[in-house]
Amino acid sequence: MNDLFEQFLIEARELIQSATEDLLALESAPGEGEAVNRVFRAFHTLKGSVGLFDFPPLLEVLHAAEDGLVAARAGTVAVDAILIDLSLETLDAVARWTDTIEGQGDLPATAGSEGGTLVARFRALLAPTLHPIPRAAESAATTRPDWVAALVADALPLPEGVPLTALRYVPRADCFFAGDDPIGLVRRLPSLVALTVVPVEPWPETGEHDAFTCNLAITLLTAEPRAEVEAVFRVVRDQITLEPLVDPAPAIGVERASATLPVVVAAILTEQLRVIATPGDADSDAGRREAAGQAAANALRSVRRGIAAEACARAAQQGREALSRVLESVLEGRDGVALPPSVPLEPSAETSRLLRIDAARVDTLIALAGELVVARNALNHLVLRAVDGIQDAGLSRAMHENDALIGRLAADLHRNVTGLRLLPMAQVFRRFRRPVREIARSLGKDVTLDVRGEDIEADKGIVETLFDPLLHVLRNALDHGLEEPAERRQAGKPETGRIVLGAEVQEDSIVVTLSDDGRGIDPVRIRAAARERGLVAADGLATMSDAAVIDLIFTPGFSTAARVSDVSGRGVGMDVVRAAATRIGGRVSVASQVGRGTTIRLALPHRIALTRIMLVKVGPDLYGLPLDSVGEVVRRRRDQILDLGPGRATVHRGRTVPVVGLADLLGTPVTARLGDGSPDAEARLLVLRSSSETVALEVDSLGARLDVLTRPLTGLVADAPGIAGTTVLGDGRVLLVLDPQALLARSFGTETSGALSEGLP
Amino acid sequence: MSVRRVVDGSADIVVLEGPCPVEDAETLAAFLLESPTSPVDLSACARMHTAVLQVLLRLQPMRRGTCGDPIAARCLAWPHSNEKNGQAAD
Repeated sequence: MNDLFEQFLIEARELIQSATEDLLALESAPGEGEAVNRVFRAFHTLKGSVGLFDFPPLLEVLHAAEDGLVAARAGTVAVDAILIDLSLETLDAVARWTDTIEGQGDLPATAGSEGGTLVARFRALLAPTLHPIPRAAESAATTRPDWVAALVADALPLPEGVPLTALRYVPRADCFFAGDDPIGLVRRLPSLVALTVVPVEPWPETGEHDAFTCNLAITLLTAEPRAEVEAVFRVVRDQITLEPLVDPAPAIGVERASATLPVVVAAILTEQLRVIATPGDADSDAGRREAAGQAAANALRSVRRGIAAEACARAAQQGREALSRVLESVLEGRDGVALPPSVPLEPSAETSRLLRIDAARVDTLIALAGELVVARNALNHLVLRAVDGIQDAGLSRAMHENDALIGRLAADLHRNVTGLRLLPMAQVFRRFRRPVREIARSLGKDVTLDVRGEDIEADKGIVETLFDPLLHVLRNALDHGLEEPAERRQAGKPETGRIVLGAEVQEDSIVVTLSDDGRGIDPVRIRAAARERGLVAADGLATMSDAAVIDLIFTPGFSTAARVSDVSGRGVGMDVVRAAATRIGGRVSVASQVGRGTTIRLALPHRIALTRIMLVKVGPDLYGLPLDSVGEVVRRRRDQILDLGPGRATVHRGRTVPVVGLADLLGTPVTARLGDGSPDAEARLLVLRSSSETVALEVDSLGARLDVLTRPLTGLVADAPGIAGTTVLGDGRVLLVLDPQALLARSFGTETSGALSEGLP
Repeated sequence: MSVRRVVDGSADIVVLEGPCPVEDAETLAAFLLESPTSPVDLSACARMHTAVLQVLLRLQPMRRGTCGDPIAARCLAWPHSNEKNGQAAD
């Protein structure tokens, strides 16, 4: 990817964002002419940038949208819901395609037909009679065009069991001048089943023959997968029509699914299908099935297909048939669990790592660096004096002064450099307007989103990770929090619900709150649900305060929604929010009043700080544990740890505390474990600090305490449970930093996914 | 030059040899318009540009030998190409 392209991606996203905002503003205040102008300019600029690259469908769509907006500016087309919806849909498509281009280097396979439909709709909007619906839309509408039928008739008998792609390629008349050799492209398809070349227009009976005007239409049948064909004809995409001929067999599911799943994930899923299809004895079958389900789930989680991942994990428990059915449906993209298409897809984890920086900040840095160089020269002078053996009070004083100066400059530099990563909250907050509108519309609710504290700055890493968890909270507020308009009227509230998204600085953290004025969370219902799902023991539940009960909504597997809607209520959500906040060192809490509304509060650090960890050894392996989760370190003789059958316990500070081996939590093989089992030997226990329960974690040995910068896991292992992140030790080894709470929750909580070791590479 | 006219006994023959790039289209067309009955020998043609192929499709000369370029041969083998002259060339 070159610089120009990276610049394009940044610019395109900004333009899409600003145009979306303006369109939404137009929706609420249709008369605002300046907003129409701004939207037009955004589309126009976007079109100009796209023109630098070779993405014909994208260019066509933007061109059509631009035409529509020109008419809107001129007043010949009304700025109404139809135009705004269509423009928003176009922006959605452009945003999705831009993401695909970034990820795969090219437009998605469906861009041509989808773009054709959008173009047709814009044309229809402008003047239905003047502009015929373009060919692309036509061919998408008909099932099997004549040319395909003719081609097939000619090629009979067709090879059996091979999925075929039919292609019609009508090169532009001036293509020879452009240096094209249409047949040359055909040569690049190795497996041609049929090939015909016919004149587009009948040859003129008499007269001069123009050798350099192309009047040919090429049609062919190939056994190459559609993606390959598209790759070959990429440069002339506007001149080709593709038709798949035979419904592809599951074996080529990878190609079909590659439009929606990254190739590597599709390949992993296909491989799992193959694994479980191989017959074996009953015992190994079950193990293989579980491993396959787990591998597929991990792969899916890495691309944020959490629901599909859950489905795989569940199906793996049910049996081979169920798992292969789920895998096939995910591969073929009909698992039906993708986000509703109208909601913009969340950008992938690999979104651009570029940072836009105010030039003034760079100038400050340059000035500081310059001062540092000057200070260092002064130091050099002092060092030379010291080497010469000149010992006087002046020298040591000068060195002190110089040291203080360099210290001040280093601190300034550090502050300014870390300041470079600060982004205003607006960057994430403004991305919510669109989903709020879409979700509210799909639910039939009216809502206003009030955003406050947009200019508060936080670390880029924090601002960017906020989107997903906040979107979850927002969905919940819209779906479960806000009542139906009729219900609101009865309760004496305005029909239009209100959601306030705000940020403020409190001491050394940034607090992001999301409040709704909906029905609130009823502790009675939560108690009932918690009892039903066995999340908390019945007697424990009785003694819990209402606030603690409401806090249970963050427990994995908790969902009180009576129905499953498209928007939320699948039993995934609020625990994800807590996990995401914890990952960036934040805390989540909830406050709610029945009938008045709910406020979710995220307290986040200003910047991602160093984490203090303790090294622990389990068997041969070294792990890190965040020190803030460890309350105490105690040594206890083994005969003071009682085996109680289902588990072990010891008495600590007058209380019985369960003892859990970290090795057991991690699934370390017994043979690899060190330690002396004799009763006199001492066990090393870490008493964990936790909100609900005290647990002593047994480790084999304790190591140093370190300040480290942990990096969250990414890619396929991004959702490996129980791991807070990784860090690199001084000797270059990679250390896994554990999340003891999540590990314990996994072992004793509701999650039943496979062993941790399977989640690791 | 990859398009040549050679005298073979009493008749002129047009011979395509080696790679035949886009420029050959005009030369070939000129030859064939000048002497429409000249057969074209394609057996030594290694790679035919689409423009050259188009000239053959348009002017339908008599053809000699199997076309050395298999893809071009397939395009020329399509039934319509010989309807006018009724010659089975390859």
